[in-house]
Amino acid sequence: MRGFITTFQLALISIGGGVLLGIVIGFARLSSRKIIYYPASAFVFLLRSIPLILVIFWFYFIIPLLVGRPLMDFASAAIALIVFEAAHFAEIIRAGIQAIPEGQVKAAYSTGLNYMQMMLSVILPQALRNMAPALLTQSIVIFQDTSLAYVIGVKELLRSAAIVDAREVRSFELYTFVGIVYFIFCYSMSLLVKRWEVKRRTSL
Amino acid sequence: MGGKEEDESMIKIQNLSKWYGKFKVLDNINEVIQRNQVVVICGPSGSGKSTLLQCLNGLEKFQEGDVLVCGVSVRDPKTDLRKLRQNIGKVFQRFELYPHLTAIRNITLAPMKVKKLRKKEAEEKAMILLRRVGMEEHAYKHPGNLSGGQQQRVAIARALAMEPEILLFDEPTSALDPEMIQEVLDVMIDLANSGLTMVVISHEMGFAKEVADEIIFMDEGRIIERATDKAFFENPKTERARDFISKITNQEGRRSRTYAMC
Repeated sequence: MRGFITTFQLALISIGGGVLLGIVIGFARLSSRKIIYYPASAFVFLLRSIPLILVIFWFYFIIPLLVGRPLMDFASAAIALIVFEAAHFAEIIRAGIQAIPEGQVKAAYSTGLNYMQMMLSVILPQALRNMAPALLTQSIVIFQDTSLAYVIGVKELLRSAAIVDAREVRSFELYTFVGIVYFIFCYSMSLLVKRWEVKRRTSL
Repeated sequence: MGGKEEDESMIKIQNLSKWYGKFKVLDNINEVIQRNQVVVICGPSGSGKSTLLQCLNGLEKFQEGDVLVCGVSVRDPKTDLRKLRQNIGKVFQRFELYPHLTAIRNITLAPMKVKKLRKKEAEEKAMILLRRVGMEEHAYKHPGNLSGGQQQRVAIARALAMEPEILLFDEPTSALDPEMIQEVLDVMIDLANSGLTMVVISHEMGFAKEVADEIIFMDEGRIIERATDKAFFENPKTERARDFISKITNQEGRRSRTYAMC
């Protein structure tokens, strides 16, 4: 149970932080200023091209060397997840905004709206509706990805099972149980997303 | 006219040139549009009409020359483009209504955000505009539930919401089914007669003949021909304009013929 809560916390923090950082980077990727565009793009391409487990290792082993003191397991895993998922969220957000026809931007500008008003009242409400399913799907993936925090010793769901297993040696039951927990949670979430998507499509 | 020209000019285009990379889309355009004038621009696609229109309210940048709207330079970095755009409404070929908002919210958005009007006041004004374009009964519908002609009429109301003195139309009827063109043109004719300054890209000869004070023919980024009388369509001076007119005349002929058949 403890493990499930840790997994849940880790997932929530990663999703929250990932979306926030993803918004910043997603918008940076839309910038026409090269000094903003290029670093953001480099960040996205780099992180989308390496496995998550490497990012987790990287934060766990290398950041302490740079900072000069070790990070807590949980914090280190959370930061790694946030940074990694931000790259994925950024792409969802960028694509969602770019999918809105340019005419909408021009229409908004030509009535005298400024950038913020245009984004908040015209573009984002439409873009959010389009990207909601992708954002939720990515969130479900994050929930599963938290199990990789296992490798640096975070006592999340999988690790807790492993600890119990070491004591009681009932691998089959334990790992099946953990699998079922992940499955129930993720499957019910994706059912929700699917239902929402169907509803959205019929309402438009 | 004569000496009064200075104060009466709403839009002054001076030696405007624009390049997309190496390609020159607009080539030394000069034009003065007076208050209350209706100018119709026609010409083949790719001739730079739309680009020119976008330069007038700073939606597109240009590299040479300048555009003065009521004496204010569009190109000057110190110019508050948002302020300038409030005086220039624009109507698009593909309407560009905000699909997530109802017709009336499409119209009230800018007055509420930019002019900070209260909702009630903005909606009252929007209703007056909707009545003017004959759309008041559809005020609370979303654009997706309106026909093309209805959407375009709402879009015209939206363009009027900031109470501009100038209205730009970018092929307002060319995305419409034939039977809906007239309802939009009627609204435009009404606006033209009400004293707005209008720049209209359109190939609707009937509309041009009825309300245009000046007809400009563009090709390859240049103004090839301009005519202040309605004779332009019957008797264009240049070869290219003649060629173009004959093509659109054929097309309109075909349209009315198909009409007659059904």
